[in-house]
Amino acid sequence: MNKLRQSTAIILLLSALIFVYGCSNNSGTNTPTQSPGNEAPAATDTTDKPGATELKYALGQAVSTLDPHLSVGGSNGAVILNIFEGLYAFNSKLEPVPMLAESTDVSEDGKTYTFHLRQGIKFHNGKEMKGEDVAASLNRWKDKAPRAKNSFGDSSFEVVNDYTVALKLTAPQNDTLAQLSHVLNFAAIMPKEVVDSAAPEGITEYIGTGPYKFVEWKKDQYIDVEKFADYQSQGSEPDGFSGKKIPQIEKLRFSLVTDTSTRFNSFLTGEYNFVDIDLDNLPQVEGQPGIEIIKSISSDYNLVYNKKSPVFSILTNRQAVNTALKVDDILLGTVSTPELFELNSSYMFKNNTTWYSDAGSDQYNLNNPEKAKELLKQSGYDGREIVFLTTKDLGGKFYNATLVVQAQLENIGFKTRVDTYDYATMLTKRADAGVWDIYVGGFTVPTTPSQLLYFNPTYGFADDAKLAELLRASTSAITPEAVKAANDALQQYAWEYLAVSKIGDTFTYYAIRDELQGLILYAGYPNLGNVKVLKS
Amino acid sequence: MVIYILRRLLALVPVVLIMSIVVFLIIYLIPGDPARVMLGDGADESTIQELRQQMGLNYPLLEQYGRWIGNAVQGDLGRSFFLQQPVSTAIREHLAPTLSLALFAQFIAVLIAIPLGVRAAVNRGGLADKTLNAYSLLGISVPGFLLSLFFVLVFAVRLKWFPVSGYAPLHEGLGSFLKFMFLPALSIGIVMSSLTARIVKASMLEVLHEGFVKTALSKGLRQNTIIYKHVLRNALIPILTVVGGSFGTLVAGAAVIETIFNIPGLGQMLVHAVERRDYAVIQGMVLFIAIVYVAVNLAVDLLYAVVDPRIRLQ
Repeated sequence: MNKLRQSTAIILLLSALIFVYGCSNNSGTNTPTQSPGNEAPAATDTTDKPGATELKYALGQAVSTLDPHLSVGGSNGAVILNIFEGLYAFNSKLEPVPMLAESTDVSEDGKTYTFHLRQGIKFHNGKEMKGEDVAASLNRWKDKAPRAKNSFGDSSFEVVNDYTVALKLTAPQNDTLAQLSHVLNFAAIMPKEVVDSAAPEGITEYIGTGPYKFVEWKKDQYIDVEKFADYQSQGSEPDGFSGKKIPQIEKLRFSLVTDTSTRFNSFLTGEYNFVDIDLDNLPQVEGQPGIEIIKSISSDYNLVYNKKSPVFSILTNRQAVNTALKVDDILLGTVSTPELFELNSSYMFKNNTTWYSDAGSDQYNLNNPEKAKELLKQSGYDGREIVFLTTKDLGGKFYNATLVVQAQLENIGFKTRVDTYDYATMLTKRADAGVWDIYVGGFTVPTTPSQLLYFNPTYGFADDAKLAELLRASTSAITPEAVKAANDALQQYAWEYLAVSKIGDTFTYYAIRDELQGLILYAGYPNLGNVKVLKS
Repeated sequence: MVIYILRRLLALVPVVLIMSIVVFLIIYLIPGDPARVMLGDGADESTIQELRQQMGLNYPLLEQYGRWIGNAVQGDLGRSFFLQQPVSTAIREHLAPTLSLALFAQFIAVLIAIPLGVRAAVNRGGLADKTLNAYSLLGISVPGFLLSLFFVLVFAVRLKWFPVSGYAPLHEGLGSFLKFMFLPALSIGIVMSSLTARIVKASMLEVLHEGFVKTALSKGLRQNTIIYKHVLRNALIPILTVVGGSFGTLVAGAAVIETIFNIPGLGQMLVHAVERRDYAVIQGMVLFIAIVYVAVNLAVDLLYAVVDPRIRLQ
């Protein structure tokens, strides 16, 4: 018996030693720096160390498609935005800047856009980019991309000559250039042949004009790209996805590493120079020499009401919910630290110079349970159970946010239930108006009002003539003053109609090693066009 | 013998048929739509319906099943819209990492379990026996994923002896293959060995009391010869059963370990397929797993006869 105790003790001691060794860390006390705007700060070390020729970039989610027109973000965008380019690209203030276009003439009535293309731009297959390629690409884009379909469904892009393409609109659309720059359903330019030979599930050849050329895609493992030797860089300073792109590496591999801790551990060993980090892992890299922590804005959280549900088709009930919300608590429950969220009543990020507006902000973050209870009494809420639809996928943040909202609503007398599904099921359920009442989720890169999914019927079933009219007015205004006035009116009304209740904006931490220079982050999407890897 | 094998293979047909029907029904009855996943958050109903039509998802269930099984018997498991390749190709590509991991892990498990189990049985109550008790208790109670995370932390992140994750095929060199495979195989191997070692011990103990052991001893045979040549061989049947069972599980894909070590194996592929409702891959994989289990069981049964010639396969 004694021997048994001895051997057990030895094994326990050994495991404890390994455990302690594994868990110990020597973190410092530096605090993370917030990057101005959306950009990662340029690293300061510019000594003449020889550069490495290869870079590995870790992707957290499987790439589902490399078809830019169909892609809706996540890891897809990280790869696509470095292979393909559009006529325009966003800078850090979400302003469209010419990329493949030289300039654009807009007719006085705002209905005709004439794009003058840059000359001598080569596709990765060696062919020169001409008007027919641009028109073919953009016509496919506006037919296929849900976000573009709403605005450009009835219009078409026409070839004027080899270097000019015209867009004829049925009504003015002032965010045309912004939509051409948008990173989701990206309006990429590809050769006409690629467009013509596209399969229903997407294009089969990945040929763009970007700084990196597609080499190989090993599904669910990695995507290899290499520097495009004939890349014709734009002249202006790099900003967001706009401007100069002069990569200083030869080969770039996007590796799929779905597990967060594996990704982080691989960063620790130096396999990757850049990684997104969870709050739990922050102490391990904070204050380490040669590692900088940055935070970049990632998504805005909204509480979406099902406007067809028996409870929330009634405005007073939506008002009751909105009056009860204490958004600080919801955001804290979502991202776990005040460092990673910002209160913002606008549907747009604060750095969005054109579309940010504080109209309607008096309806934001009311935190008034007593008034909310009164509103519920007024509406005659009968104690019917309301269903929250959520998912624990995508890092579990939607679920966390939902639980805090649930507690706040129970507090004012709502009877609630949370239905949790995997992401795929959640998508299907959400399209069914009969099975849910409230959905709380993060939205990526809101850029212009026409891109706000929840203002149209496909998402939460908004069905309001005035909202639709104000939305049209905001995107058809022509002068900057008129745009501002129309946008303010829209956001003011949106807070009255309550298609959603805005909760706030969230950020993500990233760790970056000094060896990696020139990386620009735009809402979590990397512009790798100017990266350089110093040998450590 | 040949007739036996043929009969066993024939018995595979109803198993696979029933499984395929059950799986087909389950995956079509659970909510979630591949077209919706593919098109993402903002897609409108008409686009989704159009893609569903193109993917063949709008046909009646029975017709879809008939079509699939009809092709499957001809060796065509269908095509994955997400992977944009035939399912059989996808399985083939993901099989190598999984198979190498399974073999390596099994090797480690046997390497630990046999000597430990044998020693524990022979020297009952001795140090080896107590170590086995503690070891198997630890191995059974600590889940594999936790063990792998510790190994990664200690041997990859701290000591930097091994890479954190990844996979290098064998044809790129034995060195790099082993470097990537060692930690995942060890994690699985330890967990597996703790169960196997107990079976080895129990089975050995049973045989050790048989009369022929006494005869061998009185004949003056060396102890090691008795133990490893006679006793172990007679104790092998239950051990083979356990090893075979766990090997089958491994070939079906060790999804968690594959995810932690980022090994592009069948387990990861199946998890991805379920997440995005890649029906063709799920069906193909289930069919494949069924075949693997039946094949492993068959192999184990055949090995019984090799180990113990008294067993006749009929």
